[in-house]
Amino acid sequence: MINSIFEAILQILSDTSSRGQHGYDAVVLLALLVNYRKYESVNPYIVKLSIVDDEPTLDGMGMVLHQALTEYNRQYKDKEEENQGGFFSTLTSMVGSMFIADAEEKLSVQTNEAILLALYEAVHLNRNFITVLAQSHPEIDMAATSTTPTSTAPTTPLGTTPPALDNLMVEFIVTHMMKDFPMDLYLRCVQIIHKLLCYQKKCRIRLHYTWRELWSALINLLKFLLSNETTLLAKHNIFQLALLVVNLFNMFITYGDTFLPTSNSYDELYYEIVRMHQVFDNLYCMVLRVSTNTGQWKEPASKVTHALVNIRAIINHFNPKIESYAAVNHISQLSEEQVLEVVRSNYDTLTLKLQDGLDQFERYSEQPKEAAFFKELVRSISLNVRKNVSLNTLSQDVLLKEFSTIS
Amino acid sequence: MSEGSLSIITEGDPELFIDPEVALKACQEVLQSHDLKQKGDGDVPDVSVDTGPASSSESSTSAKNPIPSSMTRLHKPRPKDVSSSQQSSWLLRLFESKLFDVSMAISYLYSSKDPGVQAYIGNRLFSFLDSEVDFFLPQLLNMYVHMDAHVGDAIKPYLVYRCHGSVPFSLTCAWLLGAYSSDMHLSTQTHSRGSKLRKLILSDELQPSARARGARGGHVSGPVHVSEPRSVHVATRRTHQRSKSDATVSLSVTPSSNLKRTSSNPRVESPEQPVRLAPQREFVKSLLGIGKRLATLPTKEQKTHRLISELSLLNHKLPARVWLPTATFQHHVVRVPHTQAVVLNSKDKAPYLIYVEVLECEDFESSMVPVRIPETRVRITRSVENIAVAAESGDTRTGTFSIVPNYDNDEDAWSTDDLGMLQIPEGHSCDNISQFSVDSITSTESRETVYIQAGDIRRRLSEQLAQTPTSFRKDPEDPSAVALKEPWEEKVRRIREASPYGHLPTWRLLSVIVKCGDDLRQELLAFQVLQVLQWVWEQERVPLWIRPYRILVLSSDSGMIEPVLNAVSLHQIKKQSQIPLLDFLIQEHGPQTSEGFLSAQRAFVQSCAGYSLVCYLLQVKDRHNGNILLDSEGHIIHIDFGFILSSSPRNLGFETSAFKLTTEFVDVMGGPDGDMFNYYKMLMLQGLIAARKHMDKVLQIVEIMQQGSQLACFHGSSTLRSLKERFHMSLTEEQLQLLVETLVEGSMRSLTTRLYDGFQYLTNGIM
Repeated sequence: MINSIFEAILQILSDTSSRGQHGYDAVVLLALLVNYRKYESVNPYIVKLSIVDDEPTLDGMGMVLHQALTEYNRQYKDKEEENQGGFFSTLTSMVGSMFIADAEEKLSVQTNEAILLALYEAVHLNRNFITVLAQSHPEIDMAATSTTPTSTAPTTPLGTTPPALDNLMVEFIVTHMMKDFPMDLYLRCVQIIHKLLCYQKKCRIRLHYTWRELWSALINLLKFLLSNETTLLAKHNIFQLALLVVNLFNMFITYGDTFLPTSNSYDELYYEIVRMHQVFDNLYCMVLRVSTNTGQWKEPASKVTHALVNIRAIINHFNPKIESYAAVNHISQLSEEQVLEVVRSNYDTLTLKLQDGLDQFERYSEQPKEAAFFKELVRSISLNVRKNVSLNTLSQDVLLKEFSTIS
Repeated sequence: MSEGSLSIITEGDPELFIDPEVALKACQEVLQSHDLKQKGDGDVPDVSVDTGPASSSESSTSAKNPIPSSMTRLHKPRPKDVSSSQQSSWLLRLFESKLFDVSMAISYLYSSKDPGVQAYIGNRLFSFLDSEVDFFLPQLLNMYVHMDAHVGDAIKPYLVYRCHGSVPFSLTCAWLLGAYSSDMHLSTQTHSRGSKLRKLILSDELQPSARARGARGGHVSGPVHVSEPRSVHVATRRTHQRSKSDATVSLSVTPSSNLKRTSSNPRVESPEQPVRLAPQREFVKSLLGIGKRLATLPTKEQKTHRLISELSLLNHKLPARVWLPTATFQHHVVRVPHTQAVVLNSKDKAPYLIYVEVLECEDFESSMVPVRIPETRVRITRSVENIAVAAESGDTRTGTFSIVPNYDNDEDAWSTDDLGMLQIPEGHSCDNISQFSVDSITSTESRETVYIQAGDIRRRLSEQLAQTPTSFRKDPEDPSAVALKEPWEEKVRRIREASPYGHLPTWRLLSVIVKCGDDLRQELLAFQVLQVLQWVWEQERVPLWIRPYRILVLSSDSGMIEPVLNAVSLHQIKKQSQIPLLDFLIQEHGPQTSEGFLSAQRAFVQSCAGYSLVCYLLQVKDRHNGNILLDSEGHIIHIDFGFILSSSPRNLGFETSAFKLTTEFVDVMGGPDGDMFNYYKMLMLQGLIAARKHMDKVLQIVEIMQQGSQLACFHGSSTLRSLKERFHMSLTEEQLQLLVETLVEGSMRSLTTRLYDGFQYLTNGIM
């Protein structure tokens, strides 16, 4: 720690030829150095990494990360293709999936933890890196984040394409409803969406995104929580997640005017809520039941009941209106357009409650919540690196020679 | 003439300096001696001519060179020379007169069969302003490529001289030569004069002479005098007329004192200087490469996405000694705001429009290339350690968020601490234990409940969305509509604010359309004709309005176009607003009696008259609404001159009317009986009379370009004759008036225009 090799690492990264040779190792080494006893003492590497603003160097770092992650993606894809094919394997996997995908990794490619850690630290510590990353290779961000559902995804959107991030989140929500529920990742995912909405509200940004997909994904998530209540409750505080999801809807309901792209999308929000009212009704029953009992979940459940007030108001307001519309016009099944019409003409008689703090979010901080995770991660990485580093491949004099030129 | 630069240049050899006047006199002597010789009818030995012009030359070696060697060599006495001597003296009087301009020079260069006259004009080119000759560069080069050796020899010294002096000129020449040689048969093409000159230019042997560079060195310190280095060469060249090797020798022989001076100039890139043309060629190559790759992608969205990422890569190589050839001032390109680029509407090719940030400079070649300012704009570098501090102090930069709404622009607003700043501090200290824990959200029981109306939210939403009525909504199928509708001034301001170079006083924004897979030679021809017509109407003081836009031909299937600012196509207007043109103008400029509307209407009428004449004279076809723009002042502007003169799209024979005059147009002009409509017809008559007066200028441009060309617009044998006939030289003004009436009547009634719009709607989806 006294003899800093930070500058040397940067030099390797900034030069094309040395980057090709040692880039990967340099980045991994840097990631490890940054994590060296970082919770106990002042780590000079953290400070140094956070102030790097040399574009070629940061670019080089991005390039190394990009290559490593692309390689990882390629391996995953190969493996996936390998696993496909053959009638029998399809059949067995079908049967297997009938018993609900358990934790067992169907496709196990060793996640490249080291490189993900390096990406995390670069993004986390150096604000210039984000810009470099997003500007030079718009494709990187997607490649990077889509492979990281199993790690702690960096909490800031990496890319210039928020809709893409929304898509990613929706995809995650839809695809990870499994028995071994990754609660912390779901929390993070919903928090990211929340953060994006806060940003959009604050800056009046209207993304041309079909929010409907997000809404239906969120509603399905609630449905999943409800139907697996007992199993999930044994391990997780599902009310925290439910509260976040409900508050996302509250964001749309109360602040939709600041970031929805069209006036129709606000109508569609109501349509979706009314259409899926069963889910909200059930959720309300559930949280009401839990909150009236005494127990550890009483407090968090009651928060959800309060948060549901506007959604319930909407359902209670529009459902009778729609029924009477159907009755008056003698239609048994209303079309979407007709329901939207009812919604549009009945806004004015609906009063909502303004909820506080909807647009405030928890800032990401590594300490203390994530410290344990990173400790574990760093330990595993350093073990791995030790195992794989083999100095035998390089004869000593070559090694010395190279060290002399690194300066 | 500035003293500073003079002292520097003359230091080496004071004798070198000869005024342009002296040079001109020398030119005349050449011609006179030529006359003399003709009178002598071959009796005078060829050598005798040599003594003439050498008298005023600077060095004795050059004086001994046989001067107009080719002239004397090739000239064979013929019987008609007796009469031509008379002709020549008349010619000389004309050439010496003040009226003799570049246009006339080009015309005589083309039509005169006399090598002496051609040689004289070749010399005279040096005495015109660069910019004046540049306009006729396509003509000069086409003559060089396709006409006989005499013309080529007469032009070449001038071309070579200019190439020595200017990188932009060199490259423009090379590109045009390539394009105009492309119609030749392959076997002859590689050995043709044009290809050879092109190779010579691209080999970059035509370096500026050390003397000229010395003069450039002077530019940096003292004021500039452009004509200075020029006159040196007029003198040198005059005695070395035909010999290329001589020219290069004289240029490479340089006094060492000057060389030193050059090297003392801190900015001379490298002693070997092989990079003179390379940066710009690379720049253009990468732009064209992007276009080619875009064409392979199926959807507009993919194209747009790809375009933006490719351009962002291009940014890494900027600033560089590159320029945008469609611009009119000297500059260096510093940045391409890549997120602003758009793919334009086209069926199978992928033309795209980019905005380019440049810094104006005094001299493209000698001024310093601007230093790169990193994109990241490390305004305040904040690490984890000091983020908290900054947030606590309620950073004033929160103010910058007011400009954020163009979300596709300000990428770095996404970085960690900016998001953090969205938190309203409210006196909280922002340490790592969150004050904004979501758990506290619903603990509002103690507070007073605030109620809101759902109807209000919905209303606010539609009101806010309606607040931007003049901007078009985003359409992934037509990304250019929004980009083009934004007023130019606003766009400039927006991009300037976001640019790291924006604070520099010389910062300018330019835009350009890059076209791949399209032959722009016809466009260039149309530009020239339009430009001439515009000059003519200006000169004759008739208020017809047209907007020629600059064209850069890069090869026979690629090029760049200067976009027309503040204009969108009628198709886009119709698609976006869904109202008739008149209503759109009312919406944009105010009610029909308002000042705003009336001036827009006047602009509309004047431009309609201008373009009606252009369309009639040039027989511009393919006039659908996608090819007609409306600018923010109300002018219409025709674009896309892909079908002119003898060519028409798919030879359908549609569009038989003289020009496009739909009822919508007539409605804007106040109906067929209104005053404005009469004004329109009157303008057309005036415009036609003025154009007729200067018919030769137009004809000449077209005629020269016809040489050796395979372009569709020259198809058939009657192109030029028909063009000439459309000027109706034989008609009286009354008859012309009748003609205009007939043309207008015919176009108004024309079913085919309407049919053609229908046809376009069916085949291309253009309304």
